[in-house]
Order: sequence, then C-alpha cells, then structure tokens
Amino acid sequence: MTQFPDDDLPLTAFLRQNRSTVPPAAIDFEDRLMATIAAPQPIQQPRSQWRQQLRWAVPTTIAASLLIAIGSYQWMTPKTPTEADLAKLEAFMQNSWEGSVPNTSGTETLSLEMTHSEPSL
Amino acid sequence: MLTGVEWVNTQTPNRSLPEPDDKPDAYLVQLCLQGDQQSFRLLYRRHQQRVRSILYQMCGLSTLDDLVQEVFLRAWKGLPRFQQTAQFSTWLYRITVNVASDQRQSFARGRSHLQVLSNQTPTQADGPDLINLHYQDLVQRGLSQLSLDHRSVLVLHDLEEVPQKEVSEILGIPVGTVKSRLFHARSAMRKYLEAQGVRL
Repeated sequence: MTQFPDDDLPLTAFLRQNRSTVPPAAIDFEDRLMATIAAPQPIQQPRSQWRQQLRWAVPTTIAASLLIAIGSYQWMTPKTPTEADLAKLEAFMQNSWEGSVPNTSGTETLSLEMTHSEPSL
Repeated sequence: MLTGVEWVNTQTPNRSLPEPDDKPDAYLVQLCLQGDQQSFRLLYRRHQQRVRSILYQMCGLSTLDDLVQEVFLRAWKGLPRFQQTAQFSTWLYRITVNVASDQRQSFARGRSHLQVLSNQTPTQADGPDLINLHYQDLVQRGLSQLSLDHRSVLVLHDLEEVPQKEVSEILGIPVGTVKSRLFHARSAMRKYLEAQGVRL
C-alpha cells in the first residue's frame, strides 16, 4: 500500500502565510439572510397543495369511473321487448319476407301464413 | 466585565437573542428545529467566517455573498434531515463544498474571455507589500489550477486546518483517499509555485 507523507511543512507554511484575506460580508448581509429564512418558502407550498389535490383527485376519479361503467352497462344492455314491440317486429318481418320473395306460388304464401296462424283446435 | 449576553447585545443593539452564545451546536439545532430562527442566527455567526473562507478559497470573490447565503439557506431547509449523530459543522462544511462544487462547474461552463485574459496578465512586484500581494495572487492562481477534488482537500486541510478525519467525513471519502489527494494536490501546487519562481 502506498504511503503518503503527512506533511509538507514548507509548502503548507507558504500557503497559510500567503492566503488571501477573506473580504468581510456586507453590513446588512446577516439581516438579509435571516429575512430570507423568515420568508415563507414558495417551493414547498405548491408541492403540498399538489399533494392535497392529488389526495382528492384519486377517489373522485375512481367514483366517476364506476358511475360511467355502471351507466354504460345499463345503456348497452338490450331492453326486454314488450308485446307491442314483438307484434311490430313480427309484422315487419312478414312484410320484408313478402317483399323479397316473388309472389308466384300460392303454396309458399300459404305455408308462411300457416306457420303464423294460430293452431286450430 | 461584559457577560456573553451583554457582549452579543453590544455588537447587535437592535436584536434580542434568546440564549447566550455558549450553547453547543446540537442544542441550537434543536431550537432551530422548533422554528427558533434566532438560534440559527447564532449558528450563522459561529460558522460563517469559516464557510466564507472556504468559499473564497475555492470560488473567488465574484459571487461570494451569494454563495454564503446559498449555504446557509440550504442548511436551514435541510435541518429536518440533519442527523444528529454527525457534527453540525461537518455537515455544514459538506454543504459548503457542494455549493462550491456546483459553482465551479458553472464557472467551467461559462468561463469568460475576460477571465482568460486576466490569467495571462503578468504580475511583477517590487516592494515587500507588492511581493506579498504577488504571492497571494500566486496562491489563488495555483489553487485555481487544481482539480476540484484536489482543491477541496488542500483548502480544507492546509488552509482551514481541518483534521484529515473530518475532511474525510465532509467529503464522504476514506482517510486514505484524503491523504492521496492531499499528496497530489501539494505536488501540483509546489510544481506551479516553483514554475512561477517561488523557492520553497
């Protein structure tokens, strides 16, 4: 292991003897420093406000997300059709069928009518 | 004969200080942590001269007041994180070296042409006072030639007479590294001074 000499006395003495004199601080420096310390610190306050806002923002966002999820589920789920809706749908399908198939054979029309007719006793 | 309190009040007649200036740093730090700014004023008075000297040796005069203020502001804000196991002075000088280091890096980025010209200006001295000024100038210039690591160690140990163990705590390096840096810093400084005609 390298050993370094502890002292270089001539050099150290020269440096200490010829070190520059430190200029004194301004007369009001101490008071200005203390005034700066006493002033409210602008950096910490916004950070704490930001944290407080974040504390409220998280549960609010979660609640809003839940509401949107529930609402969209109800909106997307198809409603149970009423009797009137079913009758309208049936009439629409019947009209569509008759409109798309040429009315040349009476058997097809008859068979279709038979399927929709009430069973005879 | 004046007591400690009277002496302080004589020096600063418009301020009333709560405690005499003989309390240990740790006690004043505790008071500061309770929001007592006057205790911090005492800590400032106790340590400002050395902080100022370190900053002056490492960074020069141009921004000295600003740097001193920066050190004590950082100290005030950092007091809640200060671990009481360490000495307050060691912690404060570590902040001082950090501030000086930041400033030196800023200097390195924006070194002005004027400063380069100033470094090239020859200084010849005739009378004894001028010789002393010349030597002071050489010491400052020699320090500015050193790297930040070497300069920190040389300023703290050889100029401010901080013991090597405390230097190692301030800089966060082993004592062996302090010795090594001190050796190389002295060698570089000696070489510079001898090149300038100084016989040691």
